[in-house]
Amino acid sequence: MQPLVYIVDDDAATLRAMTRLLSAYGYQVSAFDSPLEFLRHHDPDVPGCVVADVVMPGLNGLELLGAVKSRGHARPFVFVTGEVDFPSAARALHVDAVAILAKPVEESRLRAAIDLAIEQDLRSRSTRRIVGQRS
Amino acid sequence: MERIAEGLAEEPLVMPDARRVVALALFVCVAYYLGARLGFALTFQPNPISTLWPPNAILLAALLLAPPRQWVVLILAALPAHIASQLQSHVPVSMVLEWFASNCSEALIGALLVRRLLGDELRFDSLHHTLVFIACVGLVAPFVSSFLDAALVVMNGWGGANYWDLWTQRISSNIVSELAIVPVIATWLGSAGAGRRPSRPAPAEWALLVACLVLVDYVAFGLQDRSSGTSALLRYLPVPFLLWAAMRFGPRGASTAFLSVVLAAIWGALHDKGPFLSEDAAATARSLQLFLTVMAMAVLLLAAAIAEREHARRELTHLTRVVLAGELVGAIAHELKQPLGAILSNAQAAQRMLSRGDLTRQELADSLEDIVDQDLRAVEVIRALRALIANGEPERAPVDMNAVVGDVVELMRGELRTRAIRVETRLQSGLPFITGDRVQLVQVVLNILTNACEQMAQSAPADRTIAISSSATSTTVALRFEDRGRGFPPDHAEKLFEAFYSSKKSGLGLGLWICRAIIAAHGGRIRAESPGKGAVFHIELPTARNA
Repeated sequence: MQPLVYIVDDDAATLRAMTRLLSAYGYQVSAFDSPLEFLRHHDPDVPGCVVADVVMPGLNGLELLGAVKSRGHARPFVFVTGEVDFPSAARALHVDAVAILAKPVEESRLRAAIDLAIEQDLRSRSTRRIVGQRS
Repeated sequence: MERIAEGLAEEPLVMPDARRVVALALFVCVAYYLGARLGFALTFQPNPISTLWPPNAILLAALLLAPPRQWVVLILAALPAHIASQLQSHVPVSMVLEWFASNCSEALIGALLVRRLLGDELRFDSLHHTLVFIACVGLVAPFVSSFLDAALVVMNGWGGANYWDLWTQRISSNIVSELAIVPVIATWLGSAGAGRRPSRPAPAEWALLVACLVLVDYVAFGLQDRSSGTSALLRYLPVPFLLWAAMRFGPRGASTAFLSVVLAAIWGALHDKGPFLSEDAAATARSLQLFLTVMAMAVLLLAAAIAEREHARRELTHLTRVVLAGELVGAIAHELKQPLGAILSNAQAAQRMLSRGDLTRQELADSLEDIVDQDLRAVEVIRALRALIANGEPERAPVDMNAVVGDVVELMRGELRTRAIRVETRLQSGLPFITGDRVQLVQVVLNILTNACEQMAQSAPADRTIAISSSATSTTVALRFEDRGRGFPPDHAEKLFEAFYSSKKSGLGLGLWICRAIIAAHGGRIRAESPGKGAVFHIELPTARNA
């Protein structure tokens, strides 16, 4: 199964642009303009990662990560944020994210983060499978 | 080529200056001549000294408007006008030239003193400048030059009066002339009048003021004569109208209105009419000049004080606006990253597809469209921020209040996002325009919305909503802003708008006070209520047709 990149951003233009960019690089993309909409459609069985904005109405990026975790799903997150001081604040809070990138985000750094996240997801899935087979 | 370019570059720097001095010299020549004719017409015969002598004031005003290196040109321009006017009145030639010298000495003393004390620019919208003007031009210059003038008249045996009588007549006439005429010329021809004005009255108000002044001048100075008996009190009739001119029309309007009173009063007295008539011509002239001198000082100082106060208020309005913008700058910088990020991603997506050779025309067109839109979005945010920070002259232009609300919401998008506040707008489409200054109205809406954000900092996420609606009647446009924040005690509905009232620890408490002043200046009303939960602000503004 090909890994899927979920993009969650409430800004329509940003969402379209990211979708175009990642599609151009051959990623399978699923885009959502609201975190709640994403939670409704999130399929934990599909491998891949989430690229999410931090500041969003309704549910912010960190709350979204919490919501995914609380449902018992392990899904790596890449945060993209316009807040200048968010990355350091997030590090201090030990936010469980693969990467925290500042907007406007450069394509090569975004791809590196996504590739890392997908790799992490695939590895954890295979470990889980091995653990599952043993028990 | 280089030399040609240099010549072209120099031309605009030199020419306006030269053109200006030529224009000013022409003005001096013509106005000096006409002023002299008027001065002769306003002379109580057989006195050699006019009740009002405009030429000196005209020359002095011109010197104040030009740099000293051009003064000789202006003085030479006045000479032919002087000779032409005086010879017509059968003044001996030696007297004509000596009088010119004494007139020039007055203009030079006044202009030199003002320049020494105030520098390049004399501003009648500054109390300090106006005081210096009254002292130097109004008092010292006529005082000093009158010694010379009276001596010359006595030496020539012209008119046959004694030295001190001449001196007294000359100084009282010239004080009135300087105080009444120089401010009019300086404010109309110089930059001093165009600057700070208390308000911008509509043409109808101008017309009304002119009509009232004509009527009042006539009633006060042209109606009574000796046979009907005269009341000295009638001389105060123009005072309320001069106050009106000073309050609403600034130093330029006030000094012009005052000049009309001066001319009417002297003309009336010369024709044996008005409230100044005394036993003889000299006594009439004295009473007239004393009254006009005192009035001139009062009107000039009042106009300056009002202009200064208005200027201070305008500076304060700008200052509070900059503070408001400063609070938003972080959020706005954040907001700009959205369009910049979208532009970057779109461009890099297109680059990637191009290099892979699978870029379709449609994809390219879509990307470009988004790039353009996002660029314009960023430009719009920067434009709104710049407008907010700029300290421009307030405008009177048609304003769409829906667009003002849109501007503010755009400016605050970042702030609203970080605070997770929703804005629900119900704006009536086709809202009539109002007349006013768009930037100041943006300031009002911005102030109300940032207050609402502060008030909702502790609110539950579901309650973080601001509802904005607009509506119109046939004569007014109404805006309503409702938040679900902490609200305020019912008896504070008026206190909110007082200066230094603040619910924040850091705030100055000037925001809503300025808002009320801005809305009042637009002929509208602003009020607040706190119906249990949160606060509601109402703004009503007259539509452009009813302003």
